[in-house]
Amino acid sequence: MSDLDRQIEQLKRCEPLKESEVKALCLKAIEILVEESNVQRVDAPVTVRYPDRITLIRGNHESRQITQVKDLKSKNIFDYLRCGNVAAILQLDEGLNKQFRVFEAAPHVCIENILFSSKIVAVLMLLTCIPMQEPRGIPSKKPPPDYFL
Amino acid sequence: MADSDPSAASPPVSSSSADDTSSPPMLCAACAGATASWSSPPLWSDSSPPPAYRPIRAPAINAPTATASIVLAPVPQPLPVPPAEPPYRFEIPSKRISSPDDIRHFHSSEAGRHFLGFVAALSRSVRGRKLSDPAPSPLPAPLSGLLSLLHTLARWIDEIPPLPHASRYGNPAYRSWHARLTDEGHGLVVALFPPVDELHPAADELLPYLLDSFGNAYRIDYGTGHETNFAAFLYCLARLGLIKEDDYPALVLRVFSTYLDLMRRLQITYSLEPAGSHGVWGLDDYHFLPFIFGSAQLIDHKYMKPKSIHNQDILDNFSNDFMYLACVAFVKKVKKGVFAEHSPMLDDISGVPNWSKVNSGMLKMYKAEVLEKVPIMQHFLFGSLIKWE
Repeated sequence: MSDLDRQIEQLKRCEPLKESEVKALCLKAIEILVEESNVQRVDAPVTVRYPDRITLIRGNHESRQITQVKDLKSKNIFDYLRCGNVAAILQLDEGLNKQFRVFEAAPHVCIENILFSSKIVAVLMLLTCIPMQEPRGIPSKKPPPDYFL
Repeated sequence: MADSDPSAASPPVSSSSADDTSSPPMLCAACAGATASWSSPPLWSDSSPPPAYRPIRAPAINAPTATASIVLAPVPQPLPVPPAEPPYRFEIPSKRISSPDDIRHFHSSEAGRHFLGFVAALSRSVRGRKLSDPAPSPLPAPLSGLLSLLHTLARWIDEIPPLPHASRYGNPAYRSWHARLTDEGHGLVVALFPPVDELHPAADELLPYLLDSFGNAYRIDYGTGHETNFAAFLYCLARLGLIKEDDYPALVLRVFSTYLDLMRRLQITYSLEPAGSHGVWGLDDYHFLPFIFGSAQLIDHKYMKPKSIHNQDILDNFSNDFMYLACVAFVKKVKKGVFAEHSPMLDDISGVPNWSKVNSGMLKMYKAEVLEKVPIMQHFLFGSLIKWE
């Protein structure tokens, strides 16, 4: 648990985690989420009866704009987790008991605060707000205008 | 689907706040601002869709960000100009476009397709050619006539100096320059024709296109619509058989580049206002065609790539040969500040991998951003040579 405390403190200081740490957190989260009743494994090929009711979301990068602007190989945890309009938070208390909460879009949510609390591990799977300026130190390749693609 | 495990966590219908940890009101460690409220988040429901996200920055062009339709749009292709056949029925041209339906009508008509095809053909004709490449000597008559017409107009700038004027744009001396063009224009156009009686009335049809090629006298502005009128003027000359396909390279590299030099002098001397410019979200305040022709010039160049425009040495040394570089150099000279900030479109385009893609993109963009915009095309004139039908 001390590892998780340390990670929380680090994030509160707006310092990014190591890629391996984020990967481990994500794997743990997958372990937990896959047991949810509305998660279902589906193998290709998939036949879709009502295609306009389906939205395909590629992982955490829901919008083309985000995918374009963000460097997908970025090591900053914020980039892995920014997407969409819903925040879903898993809480694990010391007994590793799960609690699952869903929040609708909040205009400005500081990631550090969601991860606050020494007794809670919260892995943020989806975040709400999109930054209005480039995060420092992350090179992003500007795409050419659509006419030139 | 696995059965619901009652012991598993499930999304709460109504949430409880995180107050069971009884923590004091939290402040952001980074900005010390108040944090989002934890209590009673709104219920997620299908009838209340999530709010739209705000994009990182405004769209780079005033077009809907419907990218598929843009990416999949066909690249305008060169077309031969259909010759106008006698008996001629020249008329004073008039405006016809006032709605998007009219735009669609224009682009599906013969006139629309061939005009765009003419621009694409001009672009094709200067592939890999430098401005300093030798032109046929002597230049064919209509082309040399056009050059002397443009030189005459340039001489008038010296004879009509700018007046002392307080505001940023729009020196009123421009109106005198333009009035002179209106007075003497007819004679200048007639001088372009061979001495054939049948063609003489054509000057009445061509003159309005020429008069609209250098800006608006009342508003003292200039924009891509005026530039398009000059292209329409050249198109009419081509329809009359005075300009042939073999002449296209010289038409672009000599005549159009002289027109460009003239326009830059007018813009600077009389502080012409950019007409309908989209500011940082447009390609250029005044021009579009030199970017089409200029990118064609650089196709298959051995070492210059689109990103070469960031190299000041290249701009300094090769602007004389390549229109695109001259345009970028002009923008950098006239505008202050970081290039990426005052000209983000040109900056973004410098990331395109090769000039061929730049050129095809420019042609597509010209059709969509100039020829399909009502505020520009509402001034486009239709007569017997560019027919509205």
